[in-house]
Amino acid sequence: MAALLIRSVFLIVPAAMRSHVSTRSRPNDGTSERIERLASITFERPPGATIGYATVVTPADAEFSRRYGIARYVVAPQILDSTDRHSVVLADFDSDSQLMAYVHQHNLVLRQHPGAGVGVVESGAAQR
Amino acid sequence: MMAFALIGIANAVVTGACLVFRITPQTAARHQMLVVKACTALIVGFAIHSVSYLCWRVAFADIGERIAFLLWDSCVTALMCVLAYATLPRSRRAWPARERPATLVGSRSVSRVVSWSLFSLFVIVVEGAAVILFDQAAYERFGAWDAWAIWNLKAKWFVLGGNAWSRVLTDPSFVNAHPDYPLLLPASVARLWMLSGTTSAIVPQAFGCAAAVTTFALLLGVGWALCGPVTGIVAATSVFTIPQFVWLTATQYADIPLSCSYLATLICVAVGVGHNGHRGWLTVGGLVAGAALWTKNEGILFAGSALLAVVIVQSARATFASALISARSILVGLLPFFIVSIGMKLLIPTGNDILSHQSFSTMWTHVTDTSRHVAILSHMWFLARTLPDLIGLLLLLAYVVSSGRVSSLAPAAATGVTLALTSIGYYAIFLITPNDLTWQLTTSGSRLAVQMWPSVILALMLWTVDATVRPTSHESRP
Repeated sequence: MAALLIRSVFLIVPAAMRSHVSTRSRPNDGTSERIERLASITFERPPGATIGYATVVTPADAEFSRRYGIARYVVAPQILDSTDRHSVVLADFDSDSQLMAYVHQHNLVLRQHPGAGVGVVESGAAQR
Repeated sequence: MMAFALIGIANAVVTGACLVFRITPQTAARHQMLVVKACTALIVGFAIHSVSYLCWRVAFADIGERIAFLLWDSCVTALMCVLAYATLPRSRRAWPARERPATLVGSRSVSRVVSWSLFSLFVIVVEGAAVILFDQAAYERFGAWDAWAIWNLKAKWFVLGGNAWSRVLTDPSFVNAHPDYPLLLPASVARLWMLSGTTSAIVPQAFGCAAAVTTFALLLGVGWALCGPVTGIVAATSVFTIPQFVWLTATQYADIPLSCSYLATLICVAVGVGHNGHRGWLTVGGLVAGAALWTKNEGILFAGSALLAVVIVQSARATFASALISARSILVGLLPFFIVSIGMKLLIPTGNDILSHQSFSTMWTHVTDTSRHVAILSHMWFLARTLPDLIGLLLLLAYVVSSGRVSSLAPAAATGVTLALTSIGYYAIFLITPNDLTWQLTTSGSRLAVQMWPSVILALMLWTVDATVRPTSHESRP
């Protein structure tokens, strides 16, 4: 029993410290920050409406699944299509310069801009 | 806001308690299995209310009013209370007279020094685990991948989706969110989100933590009830011999709730097949196994394994007829959740990603591929070397070996056979999976080990502890 007690002290305390250190030093994948960055976006559309998605990485890139998955979670209960062929598109870029380049390139209107690189854009047809 | 959520939690507890305390016998020492019954009631209650929430969603999709839902939720609880009381034999309606506490079979007396050592050990382990858990939970507030990509995504659709709530299960764009997965976790989170009026990440975090605490309490409760505090504390603290148990709790995955249901099922089965076992325990075991198959697809395999194990063990110990009677008791509890789960799968167009997207010949090719067997066995060996804390594991084994073997091994055999059959099933799934085997092994191998670890501790303990719970004198065996 004494061995168990001593062992527990030597097991748990370093384990807790190791966990704390590894948690803090682990490369942050930024999921929480990404969710919070998108969280203030609102869509004045009925639940189940489909919106498009545009980002800096292509669907062939492994990073796309993570970005798209996070965005899909945040915009629920809207259906997020993985392409930007829609009148309303969630633009999820890394910087404002990328976002603005996308807006100008496709002749879109920026409706919401809650954070750096993030916005809700509409096509000219939707604007009319 | 929070008051509604607290009432919702209380409703689940009361519903589960009505069923569990009604079906299981009163024990001679009144509080002997109280912790086990309370934890089991919690699991059963949440499972029932997750189904009732989905019924509400199907029937009244356009009514988002929280008060109306709270009334519905409370009506389910009231109905269970009335049913439990109405079916209660007259002898059990009065508060039972205090009987002399029975001497617990195999109870081991402990000295004051050992008691204090044990208490210190308990506090240190719990405190350490809590530190790690809160640290991880704070780091990953929204959980890991499956939490936001599958479980909480569905919960969010259920609670905010209005009339379109079911599109998360039927729309082809959600195919990689696994629409065929059972819904206990998302429906429970959605229910509490609806009652609390938020979609805060605290709710799924709290749900995961509650499942971990319940698992811990089940091991503590069953060890203490059957053998005394030493066994209880050794069993409970041994959960952390696999430290990943704590990390998985913080991820908001369904593995810890599933692990909790596995353990509760096996405790009920062990007590049910033990000497003087009451078949009510088997029915409650069936209910909890039902909660397991309503939590994750692995639960279907586990429930079938538990059923088969009871038939095998009872046939070997008594007769095949008595084995069938025991199996019937489990089925009575299992069937409601089985019907709900299978009904949901039939209604959802997307099939299971492992079983429905490949032909029998492809599966057979995988089975005969020696390299797949080698890869699976190698990964199992890797997990055995890296997952558990080896010194903690050796101390657990030393405790089990030094405690001696009990005469009746039926409960240990029932739990052991269930775990063996479930493991064989897991092995078979790895063998036939159409996904990349290395990816499948690395993403789910350790989680399956964590799911089963608390049940393995129970099986080890049952070699040293007699799972006999003496019913009160007026409690007749069915």
